Amino acid sequence: MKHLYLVLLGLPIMASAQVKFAQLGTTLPTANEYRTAGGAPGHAYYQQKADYKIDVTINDETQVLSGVETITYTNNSPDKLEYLWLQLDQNLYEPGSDAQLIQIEKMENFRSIRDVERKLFKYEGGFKVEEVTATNGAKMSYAINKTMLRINLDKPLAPNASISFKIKWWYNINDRSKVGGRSGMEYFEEEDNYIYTIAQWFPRMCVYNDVEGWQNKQFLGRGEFTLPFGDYDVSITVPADHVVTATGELANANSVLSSKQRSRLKEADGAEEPVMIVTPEEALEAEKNKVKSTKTWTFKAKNVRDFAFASSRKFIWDAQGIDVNGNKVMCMSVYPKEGNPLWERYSTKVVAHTIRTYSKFTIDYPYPVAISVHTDRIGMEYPMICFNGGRPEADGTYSEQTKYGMWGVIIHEVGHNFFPMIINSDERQWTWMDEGLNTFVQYLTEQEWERDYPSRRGPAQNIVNYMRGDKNFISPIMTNSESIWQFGNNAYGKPATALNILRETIMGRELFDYAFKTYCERWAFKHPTPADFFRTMEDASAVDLDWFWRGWFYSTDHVDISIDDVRAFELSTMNPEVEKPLAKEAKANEPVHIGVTRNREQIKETVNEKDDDIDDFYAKRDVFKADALDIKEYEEQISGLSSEQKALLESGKQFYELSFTNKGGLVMPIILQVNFADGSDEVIRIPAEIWKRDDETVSKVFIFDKEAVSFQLDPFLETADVDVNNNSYPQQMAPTRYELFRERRTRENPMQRQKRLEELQQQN
Amino acid sequence: MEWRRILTMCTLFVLPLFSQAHEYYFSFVELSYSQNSKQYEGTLIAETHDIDRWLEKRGVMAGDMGFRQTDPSFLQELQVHLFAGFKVEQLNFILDGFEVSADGQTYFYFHAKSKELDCLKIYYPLMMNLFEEQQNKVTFLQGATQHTALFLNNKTSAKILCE
Repeated sequence: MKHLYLVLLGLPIMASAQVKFAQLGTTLPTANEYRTAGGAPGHAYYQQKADYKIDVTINDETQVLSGVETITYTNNSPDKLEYLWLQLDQNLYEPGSDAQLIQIEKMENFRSIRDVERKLFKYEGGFKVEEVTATNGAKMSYAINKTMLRINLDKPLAPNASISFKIKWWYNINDRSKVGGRSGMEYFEEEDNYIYTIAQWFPRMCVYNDVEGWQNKQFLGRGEFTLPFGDYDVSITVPADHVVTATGELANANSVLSSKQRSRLKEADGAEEPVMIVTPEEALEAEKNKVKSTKTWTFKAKNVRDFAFASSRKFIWDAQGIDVNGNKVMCMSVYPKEGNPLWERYSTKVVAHTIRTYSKFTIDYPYPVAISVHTDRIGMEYPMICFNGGRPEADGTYSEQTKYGMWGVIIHEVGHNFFPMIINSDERQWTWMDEGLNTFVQYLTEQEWERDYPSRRGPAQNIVNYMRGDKNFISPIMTNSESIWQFGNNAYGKPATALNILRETIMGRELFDYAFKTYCERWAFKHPTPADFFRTMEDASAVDLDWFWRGWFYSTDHVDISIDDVRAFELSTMNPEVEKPLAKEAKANEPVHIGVTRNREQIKETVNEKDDDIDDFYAKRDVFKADALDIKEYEEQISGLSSEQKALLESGKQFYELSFTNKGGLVMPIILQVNFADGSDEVIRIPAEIWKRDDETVSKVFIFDKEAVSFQLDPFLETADVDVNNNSYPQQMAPTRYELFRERRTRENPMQRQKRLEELQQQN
Repeated sequence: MEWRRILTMCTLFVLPLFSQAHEYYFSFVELSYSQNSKQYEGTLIAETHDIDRWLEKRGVMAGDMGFRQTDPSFLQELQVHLFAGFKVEQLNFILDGFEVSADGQTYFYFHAKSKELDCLKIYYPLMMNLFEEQQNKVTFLQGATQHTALFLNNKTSAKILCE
């Protein structure tokens, strides 16, 4: 009966542990001819192609963008397509859009007159589609459903066939300071000038593939973009004094750049330092003398998933060409004077560093340009071009945090060239596939920019505040982009941390880097899914990571492993002449009850002390003394042992049985630092599979040659353990943040201290 | 239902209707009771980027916060705004200082003299009127035990230790 009871008690534990270590087989989609079980594109993998020829004009007087595009869409799928879907992202700003209607509001949101103004502010946003026609001018039937446009085809588009059609549209460019947005314009009131950072500006083809069919999930503002690759030929007409920069290569430099600017661009190719193409003085001159005429800049880009551009007469422009394994990349920055002194000093150098570092960890950067455009506050990415914040104070000073913020956002946004612009995941569905992977490589890139760079995301301990506690309002990473609680922590921070843990702790750098690069190479210029990533990481490394994906990507568990108990033992020599004196010493060291101590003082003489006849054999024998019989029996025992066994007996090995509890639920390796009495230490790493039969409590015996005095779990803060107070034995309480602050508190700010230091130096 | 409550308004700054890409919306308080000092001691951690925008919204021009750590008038102003968004019943928090970290976080340090309370009734809607997705979290350290409570736009109060 007792045995039966134990078996029943054990069942739930086994079941729980087996769930945590169960293979992902049925959770992942079944492999097929399009996507293999090893995570690579299958033999029948296909993807669609969308080529664009666009003429676009920005009216600087009315801030209206108008355009006409010819799209050539090639159906590489094995399916007939009855209709085509396009994305109308600007309709997010249409009055009464779903994105506005679903915003949660409270009366607390209307505490200022400006809040009310803002609510009542009317911005006539959204695409105004004027016509959709065939290339011969015949009108095509179409329907608009909020942020999606469906073109109804007269006859289905057959496999391997193409269709071309034209769309004409316009929209009012959004003022980012009033309505926000990833793109739009910024107005500089003092001088009546604009910077236009233009994206999501033309009707774009949706992706059609083997996973989603048409990815036409409505754009609600969070889940970003899912786009097919294609070639672009874009002509941009703007005021003649504007500088325009865009996705792709400038195809008509002779028409839009001065000979001096073209010569400077040549000089920049391979230069050691960024070279000014438009100097601050030239930009300042342009700001003051506005012209009415226009110029048309033409850009061409091959095999990109999108196209964005920026235009302003305020732009200063610098460039530096670099070589990435034979591919020449012109790294460039455009920025107004408001971005200096930070931007002229750092932006292009950070772009170049990012391109080089990401190329090392992913694939060689394949495009001809990489551009960083200055904006106020935001960070947003497009192929070859991104919009980045990092603006100093008006007087040109800036804080350390502004500097690091600017570096970080440029690295991050330039890094997006790789995820998702080239390794082209479905952002509308999975934010983490681009933001999480990109944030991870951002961390690696930051660490190569400056030793001990204060990266916000990546180090394991930076995610613990988010992961601990109430799980009702935390989403698994594997959650659709629109439904995520805590977007930043969930889709950026946690996956970046998870990958960092995989690299540093679970797989090791060599295995991880090879597998990660394999994923990038397999899926460059293709459309990967989460399963392709999970499978490739295992396929290329021979590390079973299903438990890790389950814990970190499919659950909301956190890491909290505690040391509960330590029991110490020493291997007995069995030699009574050694062991008995030790036992005597141990007995003597045992704590003595207070009554015994007092009795020794107060009871002058006991009966047996007075009467010799009281103590018999039992009272008189010395149990701690080895007698001849003890020694004889020992010698008999020892004679049966081999010399190795005898040596082992005399080795003085120390045994420690440690008990651990997995309090957070997320199974992780046990990383244990043992500190010895002689001042040395040893780190022991036990794989997470130690939890595979019981994921709540485990014990382990460690054998050492010397005495251990303390044990420390996760000594290098690599597992994101949320409670370090139960990580040590004997227990050590970590000081609170407030206590640390109190210890180092000073009334000086860094500049005051610097002033004092300078005064001291002058005195000396 | 309350009808026609008069809205009291002040002139503040305009902020975007739509959130921008890549924001954070998370703050965290680590709170403990010091038997030595007979006071509650805490640290509130928030993203500097979010704090900047929130202070701007409340009409406080923080400028370069890193340079104002020892400005008593700024501390006082911060204290008012900060502890309007983070309150514990019966406790009057004093802001001792703050630090702006290069990794983009600001740490606010504070204390409240008090006897040890049996129950912490916490109100923590900080920044929620600006950021719809703001999530705040408190961890109360009681010896080796951690008690955590989470706060959202529709769940701005919570209790810790209360029966």
